[in-house]
Amino acid sequence: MSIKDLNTHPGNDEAGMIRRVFWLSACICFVLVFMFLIGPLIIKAPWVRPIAEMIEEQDIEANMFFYTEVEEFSDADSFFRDTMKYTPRKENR
Amino acid sequence: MAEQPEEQKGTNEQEEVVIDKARGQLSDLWKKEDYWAIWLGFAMLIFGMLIYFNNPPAKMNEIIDNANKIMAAESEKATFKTIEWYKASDKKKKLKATGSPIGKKIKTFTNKPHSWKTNPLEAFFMGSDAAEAKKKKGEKKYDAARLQEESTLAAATSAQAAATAASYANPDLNKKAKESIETWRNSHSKASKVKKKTKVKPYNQIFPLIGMMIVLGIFFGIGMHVMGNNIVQFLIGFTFVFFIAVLAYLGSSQATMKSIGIGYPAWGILFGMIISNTIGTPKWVKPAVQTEYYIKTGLVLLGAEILFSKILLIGIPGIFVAWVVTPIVLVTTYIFGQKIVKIPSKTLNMTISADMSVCGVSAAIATAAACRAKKEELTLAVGLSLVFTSVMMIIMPMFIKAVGMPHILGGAWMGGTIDATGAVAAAGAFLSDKALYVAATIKMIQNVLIGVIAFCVAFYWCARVECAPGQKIHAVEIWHRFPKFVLGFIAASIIFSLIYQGMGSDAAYALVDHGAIRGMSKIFRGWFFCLAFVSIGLATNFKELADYFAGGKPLILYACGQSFNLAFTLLMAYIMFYKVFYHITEKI
Repeated sequence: MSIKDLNTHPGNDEAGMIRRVFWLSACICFVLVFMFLIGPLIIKAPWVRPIAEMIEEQDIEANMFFYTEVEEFSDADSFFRDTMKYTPRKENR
Repeated sequence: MAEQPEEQKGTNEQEEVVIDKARGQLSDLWKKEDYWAIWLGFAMLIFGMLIYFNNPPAKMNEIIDNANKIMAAESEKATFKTIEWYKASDKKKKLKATGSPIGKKIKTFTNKPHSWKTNPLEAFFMGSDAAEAKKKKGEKKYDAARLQEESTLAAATSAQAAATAASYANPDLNKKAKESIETWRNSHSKASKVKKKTKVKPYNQIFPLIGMMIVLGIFFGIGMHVMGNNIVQFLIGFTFVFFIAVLAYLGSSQATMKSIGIGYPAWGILFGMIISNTIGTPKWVKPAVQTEYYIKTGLVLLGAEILFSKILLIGIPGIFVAWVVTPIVLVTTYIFGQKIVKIPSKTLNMTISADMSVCGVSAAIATAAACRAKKEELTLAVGLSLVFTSVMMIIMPMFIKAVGMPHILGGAWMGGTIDATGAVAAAGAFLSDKALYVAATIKMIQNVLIGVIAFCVAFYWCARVECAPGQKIHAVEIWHRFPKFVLGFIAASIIFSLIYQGMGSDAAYALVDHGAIRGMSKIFRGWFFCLAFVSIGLATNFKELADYFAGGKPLILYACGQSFNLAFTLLMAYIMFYKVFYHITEKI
């Protein structure tokens, strides 16, 4: 990527470029530290560990945001369709 | 970033608004991105329907009929769901058009980066040796899970036989059989999950991703070209935006990030912001930073995933918990934000209120687009939702367990309050299958509400918010101002709901739910939103974002709204599931 192409910040001087690259590197380092150091520490905390282990074991897409992206929703859909339609009759008597 | 003159600032603010000005001209049909979002979205949906409706699973109708006959017969004779009942239901569940040869090919081509833990290369490439090792590890776990399932099935079979021998007239034997069958179902569900880990195959995702980039580049490029933009410049910039989108997916597919609920929206915004606020977004990338274009097209696809038949899945209690509580919380939070917290921006207030009360990121996207919120406002809402979701996903099931709350009530409570669907699934599964099913269904019903909310917000904004005090707005004026892509969004939802209803829920489950939706709409909508979040990040300035957070007002609004939501949802769930419609709770 050419530094001439960078237009967001004023002044494309060498010092400015070094500063920007430094901040970019610092941000990348932070992401890596979060992903490989802080994240694993969080999931090792006693109150987080059981649910984190279950998510990994059952491969739940815990970070998705719509029902079609999570398989468990399809299971729930199927369960309730059949449960409501074919309820054991004697159970309600 | 350089200080801009006031005049230029104003112009930029106009540009940052999510929707362009509507004018009543025929050429709008091919010159406005609102319409292009509709054309592109529907082209994708029609393509998906043509593929999957013509490739139904083998003997689909026969299997459905047989399974339904078995379930009807079992429900007539027994006082509980028998083993045969569940096995028949499982057979129907396996019918998926996405399992057809063409469905599998589409899946291979459109796969996002795979799951990985410590080596990011695993997201893109896995050799046969590594796949074999992973498979063996999975097989070991599956053997243990299968043995467990077999033993619980044997126990359930014997308990059921005892209840059958007593003609289902002995309540103790019935209760024992029901419990044994539930234990078998739990181990069956675990074994099914583990089984997937025995099907590891080597893969190389690099070329499919390049193919995907080309397909999406051309897909959006056509619209850009017709709208009068330079397609070559767009395609050049698009390679960069797509690359960052792949990185966002890479971040979200990391095992630890999955466990704490950090998904691609957060990574897309973060990576984009890191670039724009350090080295700056390169000039050559800017023609492809088309947030609104990607969001609107993604929203039209999302419309197809909003199926109105889902709202009746769990009966009236579900409608009360999801469709009565949610709008009340939304309106109350919005009024609270305006009158008490005094949020300076109405669009920020509405985006956060919808994000918190409806269903997190998807509601935030739809509402932000409908009320013309700014990119920074959407970013803020998504960030708040992410933090609260991660915390609630961990704390709520622990609290429910600690106080001994019934799992159906707990499931309904979590489904109605935790923002993100993935987190709802995780929190529900942590309690039990029942809690998971109830939580997931309530959330699903709430998801369907997005269409109605987006339409109402768009209408309210056109008719009330965006006019001068005392000004009377005519229907024609509302039509001109109305964001047209919302019509595509609603139309897709209505059309797919009608198709679903027309096919019958069993066939529609195989062809619509697990065909055109999960095999087409969901995949591409995910990419479109990811591209949109990257674009938001590439156009967002840290300082400007901080201004929106001034005084911590958005956080106060979110926290107060969520507290009200927690209390009201719990109360409504208790009244509906345990006082008014307790017979429905007994069925579950």
